[in-house]
Amino acid sequence: MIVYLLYAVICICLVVLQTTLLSTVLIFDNFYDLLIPFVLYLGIFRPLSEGLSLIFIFGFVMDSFSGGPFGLYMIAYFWLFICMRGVILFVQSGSIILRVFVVGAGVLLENAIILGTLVVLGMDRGISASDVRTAVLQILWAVCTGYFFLTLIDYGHTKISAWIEQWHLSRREYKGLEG
Amino acid sequence: MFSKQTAIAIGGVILIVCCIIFLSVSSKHPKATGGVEGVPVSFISPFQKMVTGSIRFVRDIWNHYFFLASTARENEQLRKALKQSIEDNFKCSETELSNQRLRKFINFQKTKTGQVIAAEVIGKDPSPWFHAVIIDKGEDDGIIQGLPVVNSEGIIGQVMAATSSYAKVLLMTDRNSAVDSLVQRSRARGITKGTSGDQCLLQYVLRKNDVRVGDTVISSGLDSVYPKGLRIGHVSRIIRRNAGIFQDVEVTPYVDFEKLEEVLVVLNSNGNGLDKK
Repeated sequence: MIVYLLYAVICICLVVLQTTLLSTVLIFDNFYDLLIPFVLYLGIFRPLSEGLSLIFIFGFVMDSFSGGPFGLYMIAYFWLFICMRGVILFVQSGSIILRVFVVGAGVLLENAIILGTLVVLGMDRGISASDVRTAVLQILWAVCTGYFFLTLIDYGHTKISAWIEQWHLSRREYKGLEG
Repeated sequence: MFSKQTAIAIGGVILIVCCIIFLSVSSKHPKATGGVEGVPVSFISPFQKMVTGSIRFVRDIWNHYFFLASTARENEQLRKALKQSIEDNFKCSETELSNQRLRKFINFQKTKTGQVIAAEVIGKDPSPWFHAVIIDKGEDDGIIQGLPVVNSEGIIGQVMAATSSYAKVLLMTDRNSAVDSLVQRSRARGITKGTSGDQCLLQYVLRKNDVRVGDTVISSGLDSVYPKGLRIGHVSRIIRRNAGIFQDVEVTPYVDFEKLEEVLVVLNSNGNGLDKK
């Protein structure tokens, strides 16, 4: 339960960061969706039930703030998650190569889903040069920073899990002493 | 009956088809969700407001105390601009008076300017693929889905969804956005649509119509959303293909969407919005 609460807080912080601070700083104008590393992390390292419920919450929050059709982010995150579960059947989850390139690949897939949906639903005539430029910049950002994000999430999760474990242990000991 | 791989492939295809159907329905019927998407907006927007307020506070301090020298220069330029504006305003007042006289003369109803409500932009769309903003006014202030949003420079967009205290505004530059428009000089009609970038595209303008670079594009008022005569942008490029009866016109909006901070929501425009109460 505490893990879910923690992820909810992280999700809120990232959405607020993306919709306020990042959009005002010119250099981050084409930064990628910060929830992608979390979705990929859930796909690689967390159990299916935990990851699946969280990615739908992440997608729902993003859809609420986005001007696109409702459900687009939920679907994009779902496919990212499914693909990630498939990838770890063939690649070791601790592999450095996976960590370096997986966020870039995730950004590419999300962009392909979003642009593909826009074209299929007839909202766009086709993919323009500015679309390609935005997508390439996002992928470059992802390749440069994705590894650090994934490592940070992994480190943070391990530390917090250890704290929670410690807290549960100390509580049990305290109850044992009281009894 | 099927091998495991075949079952996975069939399952994948069915999932893709389900996703397309779901997105198709949700894009055509934005109300199908029953306003459930407003829950995260109501919950997260106060944090957005706080962060945006802090960013503006820091920026204001910077602008007020550290840029006094440039402000003095800017002040000088603004004084000159003000003098010019006063002169232009006088000419406009004269034109307005003669316009009123002429309208009365030919029995035209005066174009009604709706009651407006000022709102602050507290958040932007999280992705670069869509253009929407969150404003700090909602249903409690009389805002409903479909109301036009403007500022002194021109049209900004349209209210897409509203919660009790916040609303999501779809910007004119978004690819899902369209405004029925006129070229002010020649009265050529078309539809101004958003694109993937910061520009708009005036579509369905007949090739025979006279459109020139620099012409002002205004709203026609025929889409039942935006009042007539609101400024949209100026013509920056004209694309005439070899075939076809239409020409595409690239329009640069007057509004600087990157620096959008305050907006006006027109409450009782001529169109009354999509969702009449």
